[in-house]
Amino acid sequence: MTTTELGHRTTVRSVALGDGEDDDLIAALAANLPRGGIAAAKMPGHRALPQAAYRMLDNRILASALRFLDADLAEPFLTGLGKYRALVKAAQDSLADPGHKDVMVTLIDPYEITSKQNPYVTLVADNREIARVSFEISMVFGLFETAVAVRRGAIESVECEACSLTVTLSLEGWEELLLHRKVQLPVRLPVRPPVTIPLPGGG
Amino acid sequence: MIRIRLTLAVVGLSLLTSLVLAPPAAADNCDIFINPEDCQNTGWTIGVIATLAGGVAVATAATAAGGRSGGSSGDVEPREPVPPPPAGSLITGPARPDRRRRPAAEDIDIQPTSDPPSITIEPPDGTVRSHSVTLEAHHDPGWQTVQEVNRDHD
Repeated sequence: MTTTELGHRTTVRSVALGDGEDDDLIAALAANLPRGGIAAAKMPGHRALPQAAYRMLDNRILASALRFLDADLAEPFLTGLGKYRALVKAAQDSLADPGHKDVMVTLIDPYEITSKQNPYVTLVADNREIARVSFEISMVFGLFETAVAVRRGAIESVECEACSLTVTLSLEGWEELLLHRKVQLPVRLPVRPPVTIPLPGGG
Repeated sequence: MIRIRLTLAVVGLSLLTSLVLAPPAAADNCDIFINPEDCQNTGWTIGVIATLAGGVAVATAATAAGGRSGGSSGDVEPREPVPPPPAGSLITGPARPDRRRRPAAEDIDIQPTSDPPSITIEPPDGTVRSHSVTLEAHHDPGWQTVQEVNRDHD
């Protein structure tokens, strides 16, 4: 298990795959594709294309999947944190006297924040959709002894020494995962600008 | 089927015409016995003309039947598929999309679409064991003193 620190503008891709070249990462993903590839399976009613054409389509589809992983990792993490009641209360307390109160909240036991996303790639020919390839991106943050600073109803910084992150990328209808990584994720995250914690009733 | 029936009818009609026209022509010349060769030559001439006329009629009928195959009356024959013109053909026309043509890999566009993630927490109600410390900042306005110092001026 590798260790990557979550900071400002850390992407899912950099945590899960490192800083490798696109071609290498696509080749790594392609190794876990179903036999025969993606495009050939998704275009059964079409005239058979050469194998090289199917490989090219598969690579372009996987390149799109890589771009899905360029999302900011901090965003789902902070959104999940804002759902814990202790942080909601801290936001309310800090707003009660916004000029003077900072609230430090520490979540003690191990908890999990899960983010699931279902992006897809559409294959279009002659302005007509001929196939759709759906993916699922799953991220599970494991929290343990996470300290959060709240001021004026918003998260200003997060620190966690023993967090972890599990990232999976899968292809809809295919059991084998295209990507599975679990990393230790120390967090030292100054949040600029601060992320507002949603309060009940929108208050 | 219509084309075959029409062709047979025209061929039969041309043969009948040649048979009807040849005997009178032969009789005209043969009866007067001017020259036996005239009799034979006239018969052959009429026969050849009748045969040629029949051939022209057959060709005309076939052309008409072919052009009428898509009409609204009578039996409709299934139209045979017309193969596309070969590359470099001199016969050109406005390009029309062919729905049967399958796209090549280069013709296929890849369009990625992403939706917002669904985020859940464990436990779902968000109640967890936690510590909370509130930092309250209090400004100290400070204090000032004034001390009167008596100085004796000598």
